[in-house]
Amino acid sequence: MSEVANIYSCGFRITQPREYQKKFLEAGVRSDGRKLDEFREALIGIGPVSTADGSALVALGETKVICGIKLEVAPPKVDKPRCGYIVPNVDLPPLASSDFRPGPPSELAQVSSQLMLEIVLKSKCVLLEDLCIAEGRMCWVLYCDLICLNYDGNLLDACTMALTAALCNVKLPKAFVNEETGAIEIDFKQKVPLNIRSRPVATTSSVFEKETLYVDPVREEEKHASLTVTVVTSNEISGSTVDSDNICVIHKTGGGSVNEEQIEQCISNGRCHTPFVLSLIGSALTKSEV
Amino acid sequence: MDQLLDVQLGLLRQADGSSLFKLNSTSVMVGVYGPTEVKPAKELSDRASLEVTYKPKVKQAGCREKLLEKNVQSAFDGVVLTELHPRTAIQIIIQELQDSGSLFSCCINGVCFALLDACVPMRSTLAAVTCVVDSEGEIIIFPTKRQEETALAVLNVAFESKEGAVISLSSSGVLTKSKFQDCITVCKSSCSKIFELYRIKMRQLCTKNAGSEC
Repeated sequence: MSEVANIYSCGFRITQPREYQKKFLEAGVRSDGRKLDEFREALIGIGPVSTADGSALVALGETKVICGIKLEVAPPKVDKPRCGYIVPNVDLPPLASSDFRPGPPSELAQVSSQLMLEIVLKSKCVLLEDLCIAEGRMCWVLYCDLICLNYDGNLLDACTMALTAALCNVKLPKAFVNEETGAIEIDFKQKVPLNIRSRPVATTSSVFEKETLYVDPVREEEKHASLTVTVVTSNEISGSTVDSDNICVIHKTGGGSVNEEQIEQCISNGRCHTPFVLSLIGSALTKSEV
Repeated sequence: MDQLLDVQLGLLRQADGSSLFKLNSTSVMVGVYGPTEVKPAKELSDRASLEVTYKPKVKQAGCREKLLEKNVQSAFDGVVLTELHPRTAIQIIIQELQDSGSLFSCCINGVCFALLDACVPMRSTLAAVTCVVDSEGEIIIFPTKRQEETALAVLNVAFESKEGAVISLSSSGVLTKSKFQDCITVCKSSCSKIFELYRIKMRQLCTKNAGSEC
């Protein structure tokens, strides 16, 4: 009896995906058995890429993103001689999902890259002034490559987690200006951890047909959501405490309209989820230092 | 709030609809073509697909422009009655003439006027407002470029006219929850002026058309 039901439900899932999702969401559950406010299990590994200057691998359910950070030196930009720069790049290869085609970066990849840059800069995770070696002459450039290895929805949360964890893993070689010769010398044997001032955490919520609000959508749910809101908390680190009351980026995508209660719900989802993710990143970092 | 809002419709002869929208010193020219032929890759079987292209004045379009395009497309996806024209494309081209701050709201309002001029069916009109929170904690509506750069946070919101619900929302910069809610309230009260402008312009357009067809 259950085999017959299984065959029917598989068929229903393929031929009528929207109705399939609707049946679950109206009953207050998700198609993978989670509750509406339940997140998928997240795993973080620090330093999987030994050739990178900082790296992290994040698995958010089936969504897997790897972040690798490479350091380079370059002259600073002319209008900001005292700042370095960060270049995040999100790559969505065809390997990750049949939705992605080979070729130039898709719209989703470009938008995600831009959002990653905004998240890092607006949360003041890394201050660009900390990346300066010699004013007007040389600065550090952080090339952050985020590659999605498997796409099952909620790209932004996974990418933010990976980028934050990888940045916490970066060590800058000591660079100083030789007083006698005026030349810039970089000592690759002495490394100092990058000064991370905050750890941004993203939380994505979706709304189905105006009423049902749920967190952490999977790929099947994302296709039928009327809108998606991503709330990023900034979590400034001061001493040993982390202040997690502030939001640094809010991004809504999708054409559906959202009322103020739903926006409030999304923000509170973000704030409730933040301590959990921060402790996950913290424990992953302590494990990697052992 | 002393803002200079001006719009001219129908300046581009070839386009189905066009608008030149000015907000203080910022101005954009928007052209709308549609519903028109769509590339098979972008074809949607049950709806029209909205294609937004934003052209900056200098330099080539990059990721920042792509994010703006995505925000505009998301906003109008919810408002344009795309179900009436399946397997077609509605092309929206935004040309930046001058960016002196509040670019997002200028684009959204300009696009809405151009869609009205092109007689594309819509559920409601959209009014977009940009506000910033400056270093003293004050909320400033429709900031200048300088104010946007020195602000603690920039908030772009678009409201629809029927229920006043939020269609587009993007904020960047550190805000507390209460400050964020204050910003939304202030933005909501400022958009009535833009909704008023839609009515005035549409009335002018309709009387002008009636007169010329006589």
